[in-house]
Amino acid sequence: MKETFALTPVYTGDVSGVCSALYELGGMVVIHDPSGCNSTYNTHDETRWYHKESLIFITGVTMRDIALGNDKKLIGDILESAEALQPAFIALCTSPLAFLSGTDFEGIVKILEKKTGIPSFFVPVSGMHDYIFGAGCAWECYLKHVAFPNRKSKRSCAVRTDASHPRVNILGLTPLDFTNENTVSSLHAYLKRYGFEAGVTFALETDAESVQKLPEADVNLVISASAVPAAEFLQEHFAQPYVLGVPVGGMRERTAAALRKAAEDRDPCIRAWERKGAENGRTSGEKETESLSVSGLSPKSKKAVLIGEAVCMKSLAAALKEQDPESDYTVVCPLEKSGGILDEAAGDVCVQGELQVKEAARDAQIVIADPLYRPLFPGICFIDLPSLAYSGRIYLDRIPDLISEEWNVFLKDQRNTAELI
Amino acid sequence: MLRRLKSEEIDFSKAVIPIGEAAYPAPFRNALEYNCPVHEHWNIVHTGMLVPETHQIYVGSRNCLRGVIMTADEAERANRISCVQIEERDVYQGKLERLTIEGVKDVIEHLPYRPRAIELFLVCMHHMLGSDERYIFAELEKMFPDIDFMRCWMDPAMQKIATTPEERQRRSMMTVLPPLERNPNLAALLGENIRMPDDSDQVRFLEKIGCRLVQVQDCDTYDDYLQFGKASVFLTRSAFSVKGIRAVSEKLGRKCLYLPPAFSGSEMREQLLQLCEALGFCGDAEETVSSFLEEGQAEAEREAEQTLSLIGQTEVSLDAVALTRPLSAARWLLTHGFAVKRVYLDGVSKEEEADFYFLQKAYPELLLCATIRPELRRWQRNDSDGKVLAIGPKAAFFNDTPWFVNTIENGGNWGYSGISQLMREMRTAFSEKKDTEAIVPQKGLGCSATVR
Repeated sequence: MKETFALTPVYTGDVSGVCSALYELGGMVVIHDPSGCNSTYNTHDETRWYHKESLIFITGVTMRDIALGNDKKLIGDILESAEALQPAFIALCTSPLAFLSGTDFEGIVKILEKKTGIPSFFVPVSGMHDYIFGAGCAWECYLKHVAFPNRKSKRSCAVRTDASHPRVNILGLTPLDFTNENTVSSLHAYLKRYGFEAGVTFALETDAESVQKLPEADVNLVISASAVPAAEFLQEHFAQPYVLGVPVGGMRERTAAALRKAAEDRDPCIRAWERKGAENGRTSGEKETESLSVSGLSPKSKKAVLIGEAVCMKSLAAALKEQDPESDYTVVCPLEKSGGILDEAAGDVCVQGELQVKEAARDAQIVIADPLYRPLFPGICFIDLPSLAYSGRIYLDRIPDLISEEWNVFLKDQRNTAELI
Repeated sequence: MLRRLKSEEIDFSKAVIPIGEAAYPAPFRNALEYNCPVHEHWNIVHTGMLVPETHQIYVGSRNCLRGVIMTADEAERANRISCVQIEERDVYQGKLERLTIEGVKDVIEHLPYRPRAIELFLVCMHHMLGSDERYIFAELEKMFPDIDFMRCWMDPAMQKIATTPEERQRRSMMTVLPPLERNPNLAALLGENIRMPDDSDQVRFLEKIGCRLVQVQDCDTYDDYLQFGKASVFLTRSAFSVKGIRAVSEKLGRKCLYLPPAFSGSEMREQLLQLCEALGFCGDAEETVSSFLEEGQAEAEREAEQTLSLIGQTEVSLDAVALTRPLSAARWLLTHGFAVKRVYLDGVSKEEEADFYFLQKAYPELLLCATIRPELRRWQRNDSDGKVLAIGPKAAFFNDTPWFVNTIENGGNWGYSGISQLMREMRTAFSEKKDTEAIVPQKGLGCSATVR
């Protein structure tokens, strides 16, 4: 059954995705939940909770309030906190109970907005989806209701004064996919090295004021499937093209080429890992990373499967393939909203549940995934790539910043494992 | 753009209240709830791991499942938990009961071992959709007659208005005990997360009157646990376990006693006398109890003097995670000369009513501090002038102090031995800094080392 998880955990849920996406934007996120959602989120899915303040609360709703439709308490409690804490916006989301009861959240946020004057919106999650879905909904709602509520029609990007240094926003940053604290500085360094001007890093190490500068960029770099709805919103309303890809290893050059192509040609969406995205060739002429094969020593061909978030895994697969053209690298993605990103013809597949994951990787000689997937693959060469969205904080200090030179360290560290095949 | 308010601009008067002005039993008005990054208390996952050879299965939504599975994984017990994920279409199509039964069956068939018992947790959605609990369990018991099914719920929507998930789970863990031949000299401590130390007053007193105490933490197998069905009396210190010991004692025709960790000598005396009666002690109970307690009291007083001479009037804060009767503890400490300034709790239990009113009259300036009020997100944590000695992880967090007693649930102790232990731990904590940030967010203090 695809619903059962006998040996492995589930990914971070949609509610945590909402909280993570909106964390640094100055608002107040209210989860209509009896208990547990906030604790799960701040314990297992969030690395900023102890040090960096964000107003994220649950309502502590009871079955009685749900059954009797006591929305008055919900509204009153939110009004009290909004008055006391003065958030920049109010985002309301729900766990399954209130979702099932048919609570009129859209009506409630209208009341909240009217009474407080604070922009308010409902993020339509139910507690039954994953963080890619949740974060995607949250950012889309935020852009629509708070950042750019008065958008009217499509308009072109701001005119650039220096076309040789296109300005690039990075979309899709949360600790769930990019946990290593050096990620943002590595991305800035990457953009600078390849001649780009760094735009907004949405939504890590940023704030509501910075978000207003999103339309000033020439192109958006989408580094997680969670940011696709935001990228499409920006494309629709500000005519910004976007590139899907994470600049790891050999993908650094190809991502840079794709960004330039998108900025110049206004291609609405480019997948950086596709060869056509790299046709412009290398832009900097810099020597790429040391050639290493994850399979150990080519030319022996092997089949490797990467399991995880679609954009990151596709980029990683392409980078590994570039180092080791003889082998096959395919992606198995157990997350929602990812089908359009993967390449089915290349063998990539979206799956649900642990048995489908196991089945999809049955012919693999190498599995690259979070260590908590190991029980599904006894006897198969397994390369650990921990993810906060899967194993939480268990392997926190082992989550690499693959955008930096740690990419080479990662490959070297795994070489001995792969050579065992 | 609205201006972000600073801590000093926030009104904390609804979250921090002098006990002289506080209402009983709810000093703080319900509001949105903040969850501070302190997680050392045990939850249903930790508690469920205590019975050997059991496997936990949760049937719920992804968000709910995430927390319990990560709890088990962090406790290095990933091999003892599984889940069935409810999706929206299962709900729309009215398939929840079938999904639950088939999902649990699927999990059991894919496990690499055969558990002796399954703790099956249904969730709020099962209530909401009117799922038939009896049907679900009857079907599963028919499919797997060799497995005991414990009827558990992860239904926090009920915890403020009905039996809590903790109470249901503990009751289900206890009522699997079978009716074995009664051993008159055997008592079983049930529904406790923390093992009661062998030098605890309760253990030593039971030995003194010729009785042995068994605890789940000492069981290696499920069969060892089932042997608790021989006990002539079931004991617990935990309020969450009262419904459970009543249910199992009724089922087996035995006695049960709730013996909470008291701080007053008279209550300890009363509890030990009840214990003598329940066990049919033939000696002079009054004399035996009095002489036993006198010794413990003298020791506790000596420890208190020594502690007070070390820490003097250093500010002391304590919380309800560390001490299940925080107001009783505060009363004892204050009347022994300690400078207790703050007590972190979110409500006052009926058991502490007398302590509440005593403190309200004698120490009206004592601050009751909420831990879940929303404005606490902006609490300026290190607002004290000098050193603060905290008892408990929440008190440590909110005071931002590295000097704290890292304990939960009274360290499993009871009686004067518990007070003496607390005094020793306060002296150690006063002298040795701890890494608060590294310690207090960890879940389930001591669980990894306790469960099999």
